[in-house]
Amino acid sequence: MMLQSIRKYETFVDRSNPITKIGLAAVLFLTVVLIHNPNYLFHLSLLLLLAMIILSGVKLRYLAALIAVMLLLGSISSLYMIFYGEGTTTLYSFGIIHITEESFVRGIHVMMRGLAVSFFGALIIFTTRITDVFYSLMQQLSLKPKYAYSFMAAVRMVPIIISEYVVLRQARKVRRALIHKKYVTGMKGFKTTIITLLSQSIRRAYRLGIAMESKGFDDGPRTYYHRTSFSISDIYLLLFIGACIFMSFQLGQIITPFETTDAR
Amino acid sequence: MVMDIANLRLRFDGEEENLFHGLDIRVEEGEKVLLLGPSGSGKSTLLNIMGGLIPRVIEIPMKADRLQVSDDCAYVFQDPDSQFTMPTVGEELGFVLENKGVRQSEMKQKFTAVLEAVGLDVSFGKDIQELSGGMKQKLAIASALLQDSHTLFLDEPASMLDEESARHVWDTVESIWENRTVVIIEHRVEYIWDKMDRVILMDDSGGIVCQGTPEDMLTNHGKLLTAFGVWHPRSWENAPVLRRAKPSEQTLLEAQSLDVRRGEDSILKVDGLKIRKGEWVTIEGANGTGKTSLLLALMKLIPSAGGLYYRGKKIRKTKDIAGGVYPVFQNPELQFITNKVFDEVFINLEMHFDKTEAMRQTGNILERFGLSAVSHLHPLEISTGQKRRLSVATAAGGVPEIIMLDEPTFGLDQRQTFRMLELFSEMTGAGTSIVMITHDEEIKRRYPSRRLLIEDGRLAERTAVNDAPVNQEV
Amino acid sequence: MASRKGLTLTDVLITVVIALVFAIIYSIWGGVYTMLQPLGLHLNELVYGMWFIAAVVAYLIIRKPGVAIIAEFAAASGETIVMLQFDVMLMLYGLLQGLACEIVFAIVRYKSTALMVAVTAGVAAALSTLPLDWYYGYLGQLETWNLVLMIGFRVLSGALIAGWLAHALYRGLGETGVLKLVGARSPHRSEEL
Repeated sequence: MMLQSIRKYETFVDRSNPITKIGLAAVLFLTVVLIHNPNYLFHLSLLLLLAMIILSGVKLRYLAALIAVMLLLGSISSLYMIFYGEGTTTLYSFGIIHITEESFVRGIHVMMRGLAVSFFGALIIFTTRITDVFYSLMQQLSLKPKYAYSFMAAVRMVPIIISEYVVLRQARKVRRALIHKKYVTGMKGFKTTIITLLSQSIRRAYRLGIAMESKGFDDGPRTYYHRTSFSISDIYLLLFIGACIFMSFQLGQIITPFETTDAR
Repeated sequence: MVMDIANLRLRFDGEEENLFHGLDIRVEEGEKVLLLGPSGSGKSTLLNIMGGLIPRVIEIPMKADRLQVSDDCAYVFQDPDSQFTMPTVGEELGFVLENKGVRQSEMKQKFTAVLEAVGLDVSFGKDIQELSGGMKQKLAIASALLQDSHTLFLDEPASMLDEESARHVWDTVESIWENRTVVIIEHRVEYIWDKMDRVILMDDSGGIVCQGTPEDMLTNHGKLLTAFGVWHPRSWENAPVLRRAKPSEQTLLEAQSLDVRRGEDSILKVDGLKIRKGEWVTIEGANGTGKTSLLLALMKLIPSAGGLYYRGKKIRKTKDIAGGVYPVFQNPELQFITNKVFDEVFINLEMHFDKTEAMRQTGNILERFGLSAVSHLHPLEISTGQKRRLSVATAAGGVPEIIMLDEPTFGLDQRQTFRMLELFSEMTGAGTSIVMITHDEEIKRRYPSRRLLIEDGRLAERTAVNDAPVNQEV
Repeated sequence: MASRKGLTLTDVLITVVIALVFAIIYSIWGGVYTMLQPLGLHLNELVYGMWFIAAVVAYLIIRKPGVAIIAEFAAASGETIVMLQFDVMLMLYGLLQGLACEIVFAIVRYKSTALMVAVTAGVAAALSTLPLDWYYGYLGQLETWNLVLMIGFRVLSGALIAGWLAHALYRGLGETGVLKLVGARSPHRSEEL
């Protein structure tokens, strides 16, 4: 997989079961939603950021780029709450924009929620092979093979779809010179692009479905080339995330960058 | 086992006519059969019936008086991208054995055996996407072997490969086919013709025209094979005799010390290249040498260092050259913009002529390219051969001075290929330059006025083309 | 043949592939949505409907129970992969939106491909996102005029993009002839042969 080329080392997160990681991501999501104290959330995001940097094994320059994008998108998306949220202590007002201290903290809080989840989410993506996710889902959670293999086969097609898009763009760039631009711009251009890509992909999926069934695939019981199971690495990861949450609650009472303890 | 089908009738949903109306076919145990026929003859459909995919997997209404099909078969299909499920070699082979319920501990040993049998030396963790086309097809054969079946159906397994890879694939097939019944559909048949037990020729509407041993077919039915436009070992004896392109002295496109790069690496260096008016140039070179990249670089669709001039003007961006120089890519589907064959050609002309004239010329072009009958259909709905002709037809409006084609005869049958070559000759005769990438030895030998070769990352002039009359042994 | 009445492997495969094509579009769309956000007046909500389009397109093509949920969930999961961030919330949204569409399709018993069905599904999906947003994004704390504007835009967008545009794509795909390969079939009529 392409992601492996930008990584330097593997950690216990690689060896833990994908189901553990998905489960922990869900727990983390719930935790983050239930935290209303921005000070707790601040430390949790910071700890998860560190976790991503250290445990993903990804080369620093790629991580730096990713973090920059995450921060940028996060801060932009928090602006609507900062600009338009309700509040009493006005900091700044211009036209329909009305920034209050409350809405400002709330905006930052929503942004940190997104970041905390994203940091752990990125860690998962970097340390998990997609096929392992589905092997685990079939073996540990008895997901029907029909769904698992469809998804794995479809993921295999994503690079093909992307390269088709690149060629389609090139072809249009060339044809543009001879035709009226109304055919390749705006809504019409967008629609024909999607229709072409979808049509190609549906044909390919149809052929692949037949090929898979010709190889004797059925939805019944089967053996597995990769056996997946739970191991000590899963315990490590569980303890690690537990510790992160616990520490953020402790630190949040000692080091308090925000004056308020409730963003609502 | 013996496959025996009698009085087969089948009709696709929504079609007026039956595809098969009373077809009989019998394949003996261990027989090697080649199915030939023009597109639309129902070869693939028949193969899918013989292996039971129709109607078990593909629901098409069908009936037969006797239907004894193989229940123990494996398929190899044409397109490598739509027959693999998993990302790596091991997982893909594992998929086959998982389906059979083979124990995990026995899997790797079986992988090693089949990979050795097909001569594919790769690790189990190898990404399938990194394999060449020929290697992918060998992997497909390996997974067919893993199914341990006694009947093999090969549906154009080599049609997307260059000649050398195709030969390797056929050698592989031959090395494993003892004790197996093998039914093959293929366009380019030179390598396998003599090795078959029987050749069956089908017509345009799902009937069998004639059948016999390969030798019998060639000596007694050669005319029929040619009439139905399928390739056979003596096809080129009927190749069109064309006037050699007579280029003028005028240089249209010039590249000076072009260096095509991808990231840090240089893919291709071109010291000097001139395309003159009315030339027919072929570009050859093994797979992966950067032929397509050269085409893209000449259009400024990928970055390159060095000078590029069209009619003496320096080219910096695609739009400086687009229109005058017109590339036709390998996947025709991705170049279509409208939802009608007619419009696809018409929109190229409507900017240059008034409406009546543009419509008249569109009609002419479609006629010349044999597309009049499908002019009301969606470009994605027509056959592969028609799509390929349409993609060339969009260039034929007279505006482009140079047409650059990436393997324009790929996957076409004999009739379509010869027609395409005649069209190219008409175009060069009218002063349009043709630059084409091709793997086909016969085309390279017979038609171009100049041959270029990419070797060791560099474009070079191949020995001058013989001035002997075209289409005779040199 | 009775065993092939439900979702076949090919049905699921085509659904997921359609979903992943849209997953790529979703992740590009995320950028559009975010960039429009600070403009205020919730203009960004006008593009929100794109996120339900996979469910509607997949349903129109295949017309079988479960397709809408699978498509939307797969598109959301695909988006988290393309974006390099595994995101539980995104998948939860996907599931809810797919479910909302699925209910609409179940009401018409997976038969109709009318434009109104697509539009209704788009609106239903838009409404299904609100409860989660309410809690997660502190929507209750927005000023009322602002909140009404936001909901209005989002519903409108669901109707236009997930409804009207999805239907237009479906019709366009029909013209390419590819739909002959897929979907619920009329009963066999092999007697006529």
